Amino acid sequence: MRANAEVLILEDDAETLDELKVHFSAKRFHPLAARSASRALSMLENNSQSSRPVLAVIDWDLSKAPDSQWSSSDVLARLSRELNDCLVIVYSANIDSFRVRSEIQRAHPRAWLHDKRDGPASLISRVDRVLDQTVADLRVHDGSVVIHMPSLDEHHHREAVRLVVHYPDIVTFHSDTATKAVRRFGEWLVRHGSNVQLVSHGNRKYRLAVAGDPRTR
Amino acid sequence: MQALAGRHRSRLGVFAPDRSRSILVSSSDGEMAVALHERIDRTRAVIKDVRPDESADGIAACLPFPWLVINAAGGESAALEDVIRRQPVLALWRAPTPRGLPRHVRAFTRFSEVSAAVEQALMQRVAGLRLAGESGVDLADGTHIASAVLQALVAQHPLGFDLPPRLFAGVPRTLAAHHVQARLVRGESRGGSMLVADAAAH
Repeated sequence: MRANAEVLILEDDAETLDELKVHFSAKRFHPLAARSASRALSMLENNSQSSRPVLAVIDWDLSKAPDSQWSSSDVLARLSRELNDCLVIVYSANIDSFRVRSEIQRAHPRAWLHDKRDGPASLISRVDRVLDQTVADLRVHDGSVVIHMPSLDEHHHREAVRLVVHYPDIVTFHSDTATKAVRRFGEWLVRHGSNVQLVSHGNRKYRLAVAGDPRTR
Repeated sequence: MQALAGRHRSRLGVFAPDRSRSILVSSSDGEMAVALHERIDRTRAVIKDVRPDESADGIAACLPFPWLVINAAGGESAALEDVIRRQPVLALWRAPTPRGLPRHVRAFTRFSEVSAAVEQALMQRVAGLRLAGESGVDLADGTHIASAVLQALVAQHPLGFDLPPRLFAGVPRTLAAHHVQARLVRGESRGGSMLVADAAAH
């Protein structure tokens, strides 16, 4: 079963937003792209029942946004409260400022920070490094598919990607559909003789474990 | 205007309930928390950057209680003092500390002392117990124990907590159930209730 991972992109500059959308579409993500915080919040609201982005790429400074009813801090706070398994990268031209870093980390204590002055190519490269994780004999490719390296077989499901990119953390899944997909991924790992195991912690909480890795139990 | 600011503040992610191992940093400017973000592996602890008047809300968001609190602003803090008297919470306090704090509170003057203390606490081991990835402790055989009290005792080793022994009542049973070669002892010279590896206890 295929389900493309979603990525939330909040960027007030139309040209940069298009560039990011093209990049993520090429990588088989489903981009949820917004030029204002209001639009991003509305997309999260409208998608809350059906999907949860694996990644959010957030521009901190939204001075060119078509409306300023809400700020990027509001979007980050919403992600932190309701989608805390979504990886978040925040970029700003003022990222060196203590005040800006503090404001971002208060809005979302787990956000990754990136310097906007390094340009979109640097941001894309950073996103790729966050997403293209390798865990034992598994590798996430282009942020959207899990590959079992010995067999080169592919598993296409956003929940599998979510588990691998969060390794070794526990991930909470929020629907029966998601947990079914996770269990199917666990069966796929067993069928392929992977040295990565799916571990259930109950209450829709799962994690991946690798024998011998001190970070996993 | 104040009400609006309050509503906005309550939405911040730092006040979202979180069961991960948490470090609550109370300061007037956020600099200590920002600097710690740079030093601490984010998979090991979540850092909550709060202002002194937000400490109570920040504490309430750390479930079941904060793993470590840092009073970077210094001076008295009713909310921080209350939680460190009620629960085994590691505590670092900018010197000079107010009178009457529990003995397990450690004073600091420099950021390097804070970062070293946090890093050491995260890496602490006793009798095969060590802090697990995002919360609780792991045994040497890989078994996970989701106990915030045991997590605090391991991180505080070899020192203890100057707190009523009843707060640690369940620990001996947990250690026995998992055949951990350690025991809970009361050592007044080292701060109170502490974990000691069996070999070291003899």
